[in-house]
Amino acid sequence: MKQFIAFVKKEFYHILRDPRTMLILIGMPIVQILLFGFAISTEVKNVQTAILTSSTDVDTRHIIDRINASEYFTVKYVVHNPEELNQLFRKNKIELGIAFPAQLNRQRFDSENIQIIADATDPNLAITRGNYANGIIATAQAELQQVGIQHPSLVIHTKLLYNPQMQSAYNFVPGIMGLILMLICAMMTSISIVREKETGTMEILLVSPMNPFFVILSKAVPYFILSIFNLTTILLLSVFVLDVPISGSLGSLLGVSLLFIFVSLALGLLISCVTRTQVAAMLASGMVLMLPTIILSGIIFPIESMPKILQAITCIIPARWYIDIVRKLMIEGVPFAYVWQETGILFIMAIVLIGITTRKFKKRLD
Amino acid sequence: MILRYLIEKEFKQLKRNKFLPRLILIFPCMMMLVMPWAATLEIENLRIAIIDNDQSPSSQRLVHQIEASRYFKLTGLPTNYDKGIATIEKDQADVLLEIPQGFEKEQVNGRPASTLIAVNAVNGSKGSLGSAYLTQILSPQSSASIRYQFNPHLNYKVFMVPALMTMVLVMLCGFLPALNVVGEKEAGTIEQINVTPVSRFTFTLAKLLPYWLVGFIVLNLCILLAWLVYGITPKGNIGAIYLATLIFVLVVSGLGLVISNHSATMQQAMFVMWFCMLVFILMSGLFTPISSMPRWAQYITYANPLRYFMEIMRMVYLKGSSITDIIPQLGTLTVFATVLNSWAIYSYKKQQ
Amino acid sequence: MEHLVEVRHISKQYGQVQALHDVSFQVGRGELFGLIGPDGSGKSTLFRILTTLLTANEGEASVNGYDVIKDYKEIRKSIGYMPGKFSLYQDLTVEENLSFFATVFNTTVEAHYDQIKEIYDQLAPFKNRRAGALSGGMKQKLALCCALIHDPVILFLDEPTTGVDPVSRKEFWQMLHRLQEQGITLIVSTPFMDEAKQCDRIAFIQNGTIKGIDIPKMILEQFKDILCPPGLERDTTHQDEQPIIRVEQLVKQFGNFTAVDHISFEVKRGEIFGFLGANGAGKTTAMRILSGLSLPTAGKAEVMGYDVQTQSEEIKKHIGYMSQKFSLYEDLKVWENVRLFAGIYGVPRTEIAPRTERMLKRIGLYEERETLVQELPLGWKQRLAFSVSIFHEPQLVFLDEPTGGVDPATRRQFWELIYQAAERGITIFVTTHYMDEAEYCDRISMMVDGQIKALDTPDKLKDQYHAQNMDEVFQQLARHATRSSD
Repeated sequence: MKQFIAFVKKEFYHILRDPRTMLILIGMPIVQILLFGFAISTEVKNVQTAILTSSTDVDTRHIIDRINASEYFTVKYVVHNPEELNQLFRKNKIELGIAFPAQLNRQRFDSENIQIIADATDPNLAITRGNYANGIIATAQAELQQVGIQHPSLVIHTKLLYNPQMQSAYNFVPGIMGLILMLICAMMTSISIVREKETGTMEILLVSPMNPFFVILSKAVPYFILSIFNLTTILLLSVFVLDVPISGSLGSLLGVSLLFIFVSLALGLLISCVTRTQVAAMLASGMVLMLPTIILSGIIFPIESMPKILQAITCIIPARWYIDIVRKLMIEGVPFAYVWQETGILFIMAIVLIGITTRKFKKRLD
Repeated sequence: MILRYLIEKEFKQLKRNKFLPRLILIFPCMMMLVMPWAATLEIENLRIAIIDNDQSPSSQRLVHQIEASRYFKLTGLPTNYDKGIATIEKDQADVLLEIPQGFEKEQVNGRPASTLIAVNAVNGSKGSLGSAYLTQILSPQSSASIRYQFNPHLNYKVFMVPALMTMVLVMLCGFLPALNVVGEKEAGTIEQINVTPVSRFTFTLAKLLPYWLVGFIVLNLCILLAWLVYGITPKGNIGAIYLATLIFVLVVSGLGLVISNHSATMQQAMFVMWFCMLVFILMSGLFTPISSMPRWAQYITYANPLRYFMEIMRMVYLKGSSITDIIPQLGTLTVFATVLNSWAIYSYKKQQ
Repeated sequence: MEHLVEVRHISKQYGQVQALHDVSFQVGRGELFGLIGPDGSGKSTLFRILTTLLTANEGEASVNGYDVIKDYKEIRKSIGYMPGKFSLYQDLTVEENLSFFATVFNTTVEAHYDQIKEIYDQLAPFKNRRAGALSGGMKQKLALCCALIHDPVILFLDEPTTGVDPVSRKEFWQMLHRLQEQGITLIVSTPFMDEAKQCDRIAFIQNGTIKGIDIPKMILEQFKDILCPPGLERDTTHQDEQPIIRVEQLVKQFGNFTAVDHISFEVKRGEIFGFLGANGAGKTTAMRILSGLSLPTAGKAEVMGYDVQTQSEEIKKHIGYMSQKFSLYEDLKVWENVRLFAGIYGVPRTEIAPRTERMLKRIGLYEERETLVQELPLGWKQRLAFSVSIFHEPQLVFLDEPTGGVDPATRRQFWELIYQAAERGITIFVTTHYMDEAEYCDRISMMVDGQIKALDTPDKLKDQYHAQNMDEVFQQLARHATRSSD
């Protein structure tokens, strides 16, 4: 036990004496949470809009005013021929164009009359922006027609479950948790073990009476503690700064996080067993762990939109299951019984990885 | 003429490295072949559960309409709202539609019938797109036609491919120089260079130029793959893309060198670079639009070189912009390149 | 005599390379056993097999009665090991390192304080300093402390004194003798013959096979061509009196610490100038200033008439430099390294190829011109690095401990190259910890605590200090150091 504490202490000295790396390790989750929470969003707002019209009649003006008055669109330009509109698109000055006919016929609006031109280089945004613009124009037209109260054939009540404000943070917080835990547990652990191999201190440690597996395991502890620290930071920030509630049970959330940390640590240890140099460990964890975790775990890109083969591949990525569980437990607040399958998969992964690591682990140098 | 020998050396080292040449070829291929399929925010096959309390011909028709849509996949017909919500909790459905009793009767009588849509909005864009699609199906009224300019088929790959090219360039031409100088520091060879009459300018230039070529190779590979696999070719002048890339590679390699000069170990350089990349990529408009960001965040993006290159790539590739259209972005990138590389030269210390 | 270490027919291969071939020997309890042999002869591999870090392909070995394969856990409890590379945590302080290793070996610093007291007393003033900031000698002493902390039965030391100055080496060996008196068995490898002489028995190992095991006198006699090569003769007639380096009241401070303290000296054109001193005396700092790598805090120094403060880039054009850490590009071939540095120093392009060929033939590396530098033995690398540093025919070359860690014969070959360069009129400015090499120099300066305490020809210094050899001169001067070799 004393050996163990000495080890943990030593490892902390290493971490504390490289302030730059430590700052990044601690600052990374904070910056990510803040960026995702405040800066990154896909909502439609202040869309730079240009109007193409050759007339200045009252009706056209009315519709333009309505568009400009909404918080979604900002009319920046009014142009008179299509070529100018095209120019603006090509110069990246506008994201949406609305073309009005020479003469608006108040009584007979039809869809051929007004054309919305959406910059569809981003297809999702183009659809949403187009729909919003469409809605505003429809309302404005209804006002113009003044044919009394229109009877819509259908009243739709939309209920946004779990995330009524449509905050992107709800989606990203679980993803960041998965990413950070993976980064610190797997990447840092593997690099720091391989560094001891490179500097030659591993030779002395191996010659000591300490059980070699114990040596490796106690190297993982500080990173374990660091990731618990980061986990706490992320949760606190998301609850108190981003107002993302922890709807489910905190206990089961922490339990599952612990399980995921074990999986990541086992991965890190495995990498440290099969690589010899720091660069190799970095590249291995960067290419084999981080990139797939970012892309294939559903943090940014929904898994169900991927082709079948890739969907199958995502199943072997631990972060995918963890993020899934956190989304359900933390945001949706479902009871633990709903996620036992995913937890089971993580559990099996942990056992298999620890098994392989123990087998691959070398008590000697060669 | 010293430059010539130094560059020759850089290439020999690059060639002899077991890993890097393969990385330079395989990484772009992987990114271009796998990523567009994985990195898609296209919302298709949303799982929908429908509670049909009316069981009338018109409610049945609605159900069939939804089933036929390419955006939805019917996964269940629960009998009441609670059971419906349970399907969402169990992650068997993303959207729930409840058709009320008397739906057909109200419509026939000319009174508005009310329906309820419940969406799992944890993923914001999934939620909003899902409800938008469903609303379109339920009330297909439209007052204006929408034209999707530059990408009429709303193909998500068209959106991602130029962005991925940017990412590949940033990763390779940013990380490799960041590890390079600090690698020489760790090996001790930098000391030997420091006692030679090689000037700081020549040394930095010799470190930059190879990555210029790497960037050029990578770009060609990407353009070729985009054309062969996805049939995506630049709508604008391809020369504009080359010109912009040449300047942009100087910017990221310069940044890499600055970080490398200020780091003592490869691990440090790697982490600092990783951190910068993360912020740059997130704030570049690669995944999410800059116009949706709050004001303060938009101001920050002005200091992000990636933002300008990302704009150029999408403008030239998708919108057919010409060199004159991208002059402001090119100018800004040139300023970035000058500042960062001067900093790289300045921060390389031959003397303590 | 009881055999504490038994090695029977051990062989070890790394792929195609035969590192050890049929090695057998015994070491008795309480013996001080030396391993000597050229770089790459298999000494480190042998150490690693005995410390259970590697498994041999053939043969068996036992340490303290335990088999190195089966009972490796028992062995690991009872041995101490100092690897060839400095293997402590550079970012931990002296005290932290020591208590960490004590705990790892299941003991405390207090429990075995007597064991290390003598060594640790010297380290105590620096106990809060990071290990990475210690001088070479101090690092080795700390490493020895760490290896001794758990009171091992047997101690394995792989070249523990490489890069350590003569005074510290002497102290280090005095400690080893005291450990031996306490009954600890020691197996030590060393490139220094004066150290080998102090062992009870030594084994001479070459190309992975043991060529002989005997008392030092017999081995040194038997293999004297390699181990005790004859001295070099030098004709010192064509020196002119004009100075090529002129240093006046040079000072270099790092914070409160004065590394170089008002030194003044001159180096004459064409001479071999030996720049000696203990670890941390300020040699390397002074040399870095003269070669333009670092700026002085105060004082004046001119190299070839150029001021180091303002014209360092001019100086760099006219000098050669070979540093203590081997610093050619390991991933370039031999000829590519030559071409690179020739190009950097502006040797005309058409001349590079023929001159490279002539040079490689002269130093015997022509056959290896297509070999990657990382695959060369250390002695060859050093010869190459030196030849590269004078390829552009500079007037002056700085050599910072150019021959660390190689055997006497290889060092002698290296000095032959130095003499050839001197014949051509190149001034040599060299630091070294080998006192036999000091005798090869025309003039020697001795640096103690940042100051130059003596400067003259080796013969005159020996007269002045009534010494038999340079080692004694060094011991007398450096013993007065107050900086305690740091």
